[in-house]
Amino acid sequence: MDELDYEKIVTLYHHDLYRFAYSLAGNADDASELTQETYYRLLSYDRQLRDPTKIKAWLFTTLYRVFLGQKRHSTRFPHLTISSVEHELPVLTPEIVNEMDGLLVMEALLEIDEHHRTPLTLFYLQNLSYREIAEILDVPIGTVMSRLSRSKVALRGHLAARAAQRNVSNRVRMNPRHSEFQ
Amino acid sequence: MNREEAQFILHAYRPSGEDAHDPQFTEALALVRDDPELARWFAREQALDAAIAERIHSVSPPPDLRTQLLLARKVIRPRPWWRKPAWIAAAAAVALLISAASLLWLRRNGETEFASFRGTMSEAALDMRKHIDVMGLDANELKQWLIENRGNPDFVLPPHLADKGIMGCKVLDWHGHQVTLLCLKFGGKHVDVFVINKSDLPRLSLGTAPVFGSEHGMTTAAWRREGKIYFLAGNIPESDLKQLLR
Repeated sequence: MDELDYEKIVTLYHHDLYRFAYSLAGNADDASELTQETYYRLLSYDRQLRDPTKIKAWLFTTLYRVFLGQKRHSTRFPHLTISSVEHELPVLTPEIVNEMDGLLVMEALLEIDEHHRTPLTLFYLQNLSYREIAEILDVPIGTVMSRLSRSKVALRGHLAARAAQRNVSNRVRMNPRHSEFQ
Repeated sequence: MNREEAQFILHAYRPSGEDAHDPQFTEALALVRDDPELARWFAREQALDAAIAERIHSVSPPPDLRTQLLLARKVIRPRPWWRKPAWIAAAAAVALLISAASLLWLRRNGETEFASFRGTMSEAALDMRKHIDVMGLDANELKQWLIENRGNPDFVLPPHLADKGIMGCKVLDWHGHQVTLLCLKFGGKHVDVFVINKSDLPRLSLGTAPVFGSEHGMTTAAWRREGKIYFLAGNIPESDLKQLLR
């Protein structure tokens, strides 16, 4: 791989790899580190990557494996489970989502357990089809579809809960007397 | 296919439209065209997915990440002398003669031998190509791998350093002696620990308390423990390293 190829691969994929890493690790430092490690491994193993069409899938697969490898030795990556949303929540619309900060959406994503969160993040990055996601995670296509279906419901629940929370705090801000009666 | 089955499959349909020609979706999409209620659900679904995808794409990596990734490629071994311009090669040859004479005189000096070891290992620490041979192993797998690859499986790291977890390792050859490289990464820091049998550096006088220094811009430390010499090199402030090795 020559210098220009490498630069092109960095330019093309490092944003999405970082986002994927963030959704796995849950913080910017570890996400940067996972992304860097993935590219170091690309530099180490470039002889095995003669087919340029496979680089994208290779990068995502490698990042995921690096994460799994590091997770086995570390407690820094928390494991969270899907929590049930008990209150009545507003219907989530694209307009509500559009008003949210990207990191807030990422936070909601991080509330979903890793098995469901991983395919969902890859789906939303939109670079990969469900077939490629199945290959990266080494699970059957049906499993990817089922996890996507479940995790979308969970994510929307968490986003709606955040939207409801924000509405309450906005109302409190608009009417400061409100807090005196709590 | 009924409506529920179509909805299940269409959850995997990307809002970017890139899956339009995937035969897996053909039947479900045909149902969308025939079923107004399903069509409304699908339109809402796609709009919401597009909004969420757009928000996730608004999360950007730190501005210096791209530079760091590109710099990784620049960290290369020094060019062999025969590829350098002739005048440098000539100067190098003279220097080599002087060094060779000095080395002959100092050959029994353990410090010189260790300086050579330190220099070679520091270069290995900086070389990100083929930096490690294996990664992601647990303690038992790592031990087994080191046994199979003629490494040093019975190393003992200071407890605070050991707590950071070994990310990967490699076995290097140094003048016919096996050296184990242990790679640790934590909190944005990267350190490598090189382990060699004390018997491979017989004239080196080194105590059990770490001796700190620097090499190629990295912080280094060296110490002896139970018949082994440990040499650490990494991008970590000396004060932090002292905490890890206490």
